[in-house]
This record gives sequence, C-alpha cells and structure tokens, in this order.
Amino acid sequence: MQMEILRIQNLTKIYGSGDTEVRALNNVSFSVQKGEFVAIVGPSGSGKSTLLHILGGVDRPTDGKVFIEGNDIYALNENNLAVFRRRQIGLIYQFYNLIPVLNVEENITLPLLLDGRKVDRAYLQKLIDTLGIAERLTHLPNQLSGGQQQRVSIGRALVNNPAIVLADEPTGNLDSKNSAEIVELLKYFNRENRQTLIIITHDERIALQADRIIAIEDGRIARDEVIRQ
Amino acid sequence: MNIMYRVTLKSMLKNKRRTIVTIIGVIISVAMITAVSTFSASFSSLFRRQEIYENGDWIVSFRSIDHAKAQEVESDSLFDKAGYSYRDFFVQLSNPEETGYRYLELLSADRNTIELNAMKATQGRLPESPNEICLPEEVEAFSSYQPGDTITLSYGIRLQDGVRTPATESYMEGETFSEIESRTFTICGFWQGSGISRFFPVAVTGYSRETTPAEAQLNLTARTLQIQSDTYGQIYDVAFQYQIDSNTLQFHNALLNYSGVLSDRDLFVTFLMPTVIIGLIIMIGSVMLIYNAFAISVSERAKQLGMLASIGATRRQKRRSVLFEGVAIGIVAIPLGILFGILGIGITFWAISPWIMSIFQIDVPFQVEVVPAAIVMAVLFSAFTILISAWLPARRASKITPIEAIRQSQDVRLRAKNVKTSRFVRKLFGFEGELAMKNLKRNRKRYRATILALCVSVVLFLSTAAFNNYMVHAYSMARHEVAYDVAFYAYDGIDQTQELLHIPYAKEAEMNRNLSLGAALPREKASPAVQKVYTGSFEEIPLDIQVIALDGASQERYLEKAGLDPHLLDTKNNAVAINRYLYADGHDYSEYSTVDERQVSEINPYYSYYLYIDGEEKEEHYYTGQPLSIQAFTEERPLCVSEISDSPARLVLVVSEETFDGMMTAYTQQVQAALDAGEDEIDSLVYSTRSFCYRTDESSLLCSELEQYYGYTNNFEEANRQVQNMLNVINVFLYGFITLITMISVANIFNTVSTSIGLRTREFAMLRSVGMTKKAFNKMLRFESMFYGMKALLWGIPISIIICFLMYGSLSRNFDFCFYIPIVPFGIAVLAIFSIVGLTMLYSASKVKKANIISILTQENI
Repeated sequence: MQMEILRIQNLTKIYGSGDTEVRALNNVSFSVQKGEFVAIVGPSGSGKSTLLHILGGVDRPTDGKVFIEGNDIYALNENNLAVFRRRQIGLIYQFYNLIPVLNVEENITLPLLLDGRKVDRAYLQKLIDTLGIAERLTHLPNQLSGGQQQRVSIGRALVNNPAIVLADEPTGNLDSKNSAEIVELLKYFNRENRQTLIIITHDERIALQADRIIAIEDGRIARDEVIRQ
Repeated sequence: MNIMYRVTLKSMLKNKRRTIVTIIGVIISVAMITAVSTFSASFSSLFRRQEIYENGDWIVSFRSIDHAKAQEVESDSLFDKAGYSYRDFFVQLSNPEETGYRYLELLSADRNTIELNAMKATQGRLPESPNEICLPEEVEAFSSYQPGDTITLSYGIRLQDGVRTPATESYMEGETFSEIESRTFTICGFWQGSGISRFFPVAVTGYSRETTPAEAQLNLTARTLQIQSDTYGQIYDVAFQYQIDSNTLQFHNALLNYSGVLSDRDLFVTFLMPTVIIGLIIMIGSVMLIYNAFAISVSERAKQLGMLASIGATRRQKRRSVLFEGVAIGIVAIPLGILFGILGIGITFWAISPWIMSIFQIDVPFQVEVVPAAIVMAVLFSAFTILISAWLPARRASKITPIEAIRQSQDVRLRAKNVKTSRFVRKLFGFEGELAMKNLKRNRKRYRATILALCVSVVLFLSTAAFNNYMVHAYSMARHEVAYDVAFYAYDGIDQTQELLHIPYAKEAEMNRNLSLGAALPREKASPAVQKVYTGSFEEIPLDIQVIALDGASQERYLEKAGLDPHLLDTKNNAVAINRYLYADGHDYSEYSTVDERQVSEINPYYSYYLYIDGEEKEEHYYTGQPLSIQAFTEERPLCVSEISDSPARLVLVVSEETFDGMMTAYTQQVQAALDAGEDEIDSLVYSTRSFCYRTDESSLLCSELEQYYGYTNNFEEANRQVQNMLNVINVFLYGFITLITMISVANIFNTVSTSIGLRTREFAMLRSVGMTKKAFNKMLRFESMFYGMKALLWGIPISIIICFLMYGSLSRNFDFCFYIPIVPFGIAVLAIFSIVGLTMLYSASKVKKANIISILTQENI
C-alpha cells in the first residue's frame, strides 16, 4: 500500500543577493512514498546537499514547503522543529559526527536520551546485532574504525524509527569493502522495516542499487527515474 | 620575517579575542609588579626624606673622640661633611619649683653639627658662635626673653660622689653641681629640641676649638659621600684605621635602613617579606594565565603545526614559533604594563597621600619615585614569567607530528573511564547534566587548570575580604566605646573645674566624678539575662556600681535630655539609674539590662577594699553608707559614661555632687575610724576620680590648652582618626590588589572556557542536527558552568574558612570578639563565581549558536 511520506513543493533556496546571488535550488517539487529507496545524484554544486539539508530540517528554504507525514515542517517553530527532527528524521553524514565523550550505546540512543524516553531494549538489541557492533557497546568513538563509526551513525539515525532517513554521502569516507557493507545495511533496513531512505551519492554503483534515481543539475530536477519496483 | 613567525603572527591576529585577553592579562600583571616595586621604592624614599627632615642626614657619630683623631677622620675621603660638638655641661636653674626643672643641658655644636642633625629653631635661629645661645621653648622662665636679649648663665658639671655625671643620666639624690664659669650669652633664638635623648631641656650654643673646656668629651658627627650597601663596613674600616674603638660609634640606623642598607637580618626580612609574598602571588596568577593561554594556542594550532612539520619544520622551529608568540605579547604588553603600573600607583598615591601623611606624621611631600632599577627589575620579572609560562607549551609544540595534528590528538587519548559518570548524575540532572559532566571530564588538565584558577581567585578574594571585615569590625566595636573626643583625667583634690569646663575649643564639656562601689542584689531582683550569667550558687549577685556626679550645668542638661524633673537629684541620696549596657557576648555586643526595674527602688552600695597583711590579700572590708533611692531608670547616659560594659552586672547611678561628697565623707570617716582603731595596714584614701569629657572640632588645639593643667589627656578623636586613616589605606591597597588579581583570573577563565566551547563547535552542531532544542542546549551549558562553579567552591570555601581562622588566630591578640565567618563576602564570592563562569559560557555559546549547522557539519576542518 502506497503512502506519501514526503512531499516537496516549489522548493527554492537562494544564497546571497544581487550580483552574488546563487540559486542553489530552483522551484523543486517531488514526493516520496513510504518505503522507497531514493538516490539523489548530481555533479558538485548542483544543489543536492542543499536539498538534503532542507529535507532534514536543518536549513530553511527561501521559498516553498516541505511536508513530512503531512506536516509542514517549516511552519513549526524552532523548538518544535528540533523535536520533530529528533523523532521523525534520521540524518547520516559523511563524517560520522559522533559525540566523543559518549560511548557507542549512548551515541546510538542519543535522540531518545534527548527526549527523556526509555529505550526499548529488544529493539535496540536487534538494531545493534544487525549493525554488528554488539561487542563495542561501551567503547568510545576514538576506539572504533571508520566503518564501525559509520555503523553507529546509522544506529543513531534508526533508533527512533523515523519517518525518513537521509544520508549525505554515507560511504564517502570509507574503503570499498566498508562502503559495500554500509550500503547493504541500509538496504536491509529499507527492505525489512519499510524504512524510507534517501541517499545522496556521486557513486553510480550505489545509485543503481536504489529504487529511484533523482538527478539534480543547477538546482533543478534533470531526471526522475524509477528503476526498480 | 621567516615563515614560522609570520604564520604565528597571523594566527594570533586571527584569534583576536584570545590574543587581546592574554595581552590584557599580562599588562595587568606587569602593572602590578611595577606598582609593587615603585611603591616600595617610593615609600622607602618617603621615610628616608622624612628621616632626613626630622633628624638630619648624618651617618655616623664618633663619641668621646680625641681632637687630633677627629681631624684625621674628618679629612678621610669617605666623609664629605663633619661637625664637632660636646655635651655633658649643665646650667643650674635658680628656682626649680617654679621652672619645673633643675638643670639645662648645654650643648655646644658647630654649624655642621647643627645642619647634620637638622636642628630647627622655632623662633630666631640656632647659634653660630659660642657667645650665642638658643634656649629651650619648654622652660617658662625664659618666655619673657626675646632673641637679641642677653642672658647670664652659670654652667658647670654634675658630680656624683666626685664622678662626673653625663647628660644621659637623670637627676640622682645626692648629686652636686660644680660651676665652671658664668657666661653671658646673646639669645639668638628658641628651639624645641630634637631626637637627642635628654632628661633636661637642652640649650644650644656655638662651638669653637678655643673655647672648648679641657674636660669636654668631643663628638664628631659625619656624613659619608655616598650611602652604599657596604657603608657600615667602610666606616668600621675607617675606625680600625685610626684606631678608634668601634663601640664608640653610633650609626644613624634609621636613615641607613631607609636607604636600603640594612643593619641586621630581621629588618631585611620584615621589609622584604611582604614584597616577596605579594610578588609571588602576582607571579602565580600571571603564570597560570599565560600558561593556559599558550597551552590553548598550541592546541588550537596543533593542526597548523603538524602541517608545518609535514613540510619539514624542525622541532626547534616549532618551539620557537610558540616562544615567538611570547615575545610578541611581551613586546606589546610589558611597556604598556609598566606605564599603567606607574600611572596607577601615581593616582593611588595622590588619593591616599593625605591619610598617609597624617598617619605617619609626615612633613615632606609624598610622591611617586620611579627608580630605574625597580623598572628594570619589573621588566625582567615579567619577561621571566612569560618565558616559563610559555616553555612547557613550546616544548609540547615542538613534539607535534603531522599525524597527531590530523587526528586531533586530545580525543585519541580519551579513555572510557575518564568520562565515566555515576548513574545519579543522569537521575538528578537529566541527560543534559550528564553530557555536561562528561564534557568537563574529557580534558582533565584543562579542567583542573580552570578549577585551580577559580579556586585561587575565590581564596584570595575571601582572605582579603575577611581580613578587611575583621579590621573594620574591631574598629567599629572600639568606636562604640566613647561618645566624646577628648578626655582629661584630673586629681580629685585640685579644683580647676570651672576653668576646665570653660576651656576654649570645647563644643561640649562635662565634668564627672566617679566612685567605684559594690552592692549585693538578691538573685530574683536581677534581670533574667544576668541571672543566666550568674548560674550556680549565687544567691546574691555582686553588682558593679559606678556612682557618678556631674557638674551643675551638665547635670541639668542630662536630666533634661532624659526627660526627668530638673530638681530630681536635689534631695540628698536621690539617684538616677542607668540599667542598659552593651556587653560583649560572642562576637558582637548585645544589650543587657542588669536589674529588674519593677523590683528595685533602692541600692545600698558599699566601699570595699582588700586588707593586705604581709603583702598578702587577707580580708575584704566593707563600708556602707546611706542607701541611695532610685528615682528613675533611664537609658540616657552622661557624656562620660560608656555604652560598653565589661561586666554584665553593672549599674551606673547618677547623683548630685552633694550626695557624692556625703558618700565620700561617710566612707572616709569609717576608714579613718578603722585606722584610729589600730588597723594600720589599710590604705587611708578612698579613691574617686574626676575627669572631664569634651566634644570638640579642634581636638589638637584643645589638647594644647589642656597641657597647662595637671593631669592626663587622652585624644580619642585623633586616635580614631588615625585608625580610620590606616583602615582607608589598607582598604585601598587590599581591594586594589584583589581587583587586579581577580581580573587576571577572569581573563584566564574566559580564555579557557571560551576555547573549550569553541573546540566543540562541531559537536554542538551535531547535537542540534540530531534534534537538541535550544533550551536543552542552554541547559547543558548551564550545567557545565554550574559544575565548574560548584567544584571551585567545594575547594575554595573550606580553604578560605581555614585561612579566616588562621587570620583570626594571629589577629586575636587585638580583638575582643569571638571568631565568626563574614557571611557577606562568602555570598559575594559564590555569586561571582557562578556569574563569571556562566557569563563566559553564555558569551562563547552565543557565538556557536549563531553558526550555521550544516556548514559546520560538512566541513572537515573544524
């Protein structure tokens, strides 16, 4: 059963003004259904990162709207947006961005800790086992390899069962073996839990593993192809 | 400039805030060091100039020296001025009962001696020849003379059993005067004498070789060309050279000490110790600031230094780049610091000089003396401080490898157990609190350095504030004691009462006569407070009774002030009782009342004394008289009666002079009767006192008026004023010092905290991206500052309390109150600590908050 989980309407982002004006995004519109695996590709400077960040609620659009599960997220005030982000959006970055003083378990459960909510231990355990980091729960980030740190990042993004997971070049900092493993993990969650996943990548091999590819060029959608049902 | 230095300079300019804060910190510390050394130099100079003004610039005096030897010594190149004199001749005065003196001492001194001793005339001038005489002011008998008059005096020597008595011995029974000759002098002036020890007033006459009697013991007073550190040694050498017994040497120690030549070790310690201690404290504060600043700079520049290492910078080059930062800061901060130090001390001196001149009775101007040696010392001291502060960070910088720089070394070294927090933290403070706690623990060294800085500031502030508090409290308690400015204690026998009551310069005058008596009060008639003090088997409480009689006019004023009938005391044996006192109870005074006013209407005081037999206290005798009828109780007290009592069971009874005299007569008669009955061991006098209390605006003029009366004067106003002046001076310096040290500490804390926040920009951005609200973020920062503050106070407050206790211990000889902890300064310290840390955090965090999350998160190089 299809359900629209994300809808973007006339999204525009302009940096600077007058002579130095840059239109990172120019009237972009599309929607994503629940459970879709979307890859966003494009050359550097095309606006794909800007798009992702606006989707993630960390950067405001100049014009246009973003609806997640029917909520106009930019109609929320800053506080509510932060809470929304915490519960409904999972963000994964190229540079893992873990908190150095928290151990693996704490880093994964960070969104829950911020919410003051109790952890569902069964779910957490399953998540950790799937990620393959069960023996490292009490370690600090500086004791993990790059691949392990990215897994922790993924764990953090998924721990709240968010509506959508957004990943910005998640394998950019990893070797090919780790990259492949990471992509497999993401695909796993997408298939098993119907986790909606949007990845930005410049790696064609990764893009081809998605269900749908959106190509962005000069702030506009150049191509929007479903390659797999 | 080579590339390393250029890079260093650029990074300093880029981090303007930290560079400026560090420079300010160094300026303050250099200023303080300069101030301290300038202060010492100026004060020494002040005392030296005052000493020269009062006692002249002589350095050494050779006593009882042979004339030929004296001439040899005089011509020695060590001395540039010398004078001759002799003493031990006297003028016998004709009517000692009238003049008050038996002799005048006759001092013969040449011009040089007079100048070297800074002898000053009050009228006319000092003598230039042996025919002239300058008479002492204090001998009334000479007051009819004027400069220019002639006077014939007989002078000679004093003999005791045929042995000549020198001027340094007072009159002894049995001594005789042997006249040498009678000489007519021309009076050239009058003087008040100076620091020469004397038992008799000194008259000065001129000196000449020809008129010097054979018996005269010559003194040579000399001044050295320069005062140097080995002046004592040089003079001893001269004495040895001319075979002069070194025991006959007398040195002008005060002048030599103030000139920096110290005669013994103790003095050295006394002078130098406070300066050294203060210097050390300043140095510690500065080192902490500068060290931290450099450590931060190195860690911020770690990446840069690593990169430089990777392209081939040697260890030495890396080390030098940090030291260069020290030099750059030094070049800017040290000259400015010296300038501000001198300016600061100059302004301070200008402000406090009236107080200083009053306290130390200074006649010479109080000015700032910039001693080049002191400035050079300040520069060296500061440069040294910067050097040792920068040394360790420089060493660390030299060891940075390229790899470490890329990996951002301090996080690599983080261990799980370092940031372990107990479960309670999360329960009590929430997740934000736990995160805050972990953030504090991650960099142990920096955490400890910050806590240390905070702690030291707290302790310094509280020690100074407590010291000040104790002084002020002691002073205000002492001030309580008297309501009058000047007191004059006369003997009850002599009656110059009317003159004394109408003495010029007195705004208000009161005479009071006082008898100290006792009385026994049945326990239940005493006030509850007094009953509590006299717990135990006291069935009757021994009261401490003061019976006071005032002069007529004062009594009338007093009764009117108390709202009582002006004729209340006309009836014999009527009394007005004062039943309210302040008694030192604990660390402050409390109000006491002695008797229960409803039950007591009559007091029968007795006069008691102890009978001594064979020098041992044997029996107590009591003499009673008529009971006194208490007509009224009042809290008003006469001028002379103090608010303070040193016993809790005191009662003051005001009676008329008639009643007072009646009581004196009654007691005296009984004592006489006892004497007549053969008790010859007892004292025949009943002791009472008569004193005069004055309120005045011109206390010193009033006191000079009082000099002509026979009695003892006490100038409370002057004494209080000196104490207040002293307190003012102490306050200025204490608070000035404390403020500056605090500023250095604040600079340090500011640097440390804002940097540690700055380094975590990326984490903060990530937390916000994950969904931490602004409120939660602020909460986390608040907790961090709270934890810093709490830890600092956890150490700082107990240490301060201990110091308060130690301080109280050493000052307690002069204090009459019990130990207490001054609450207000402690409260201020607590508030200040949380404010400083909190504000610093807020300021730093606001910068972080403004930054764009994404740009931070996608940047590799934060």
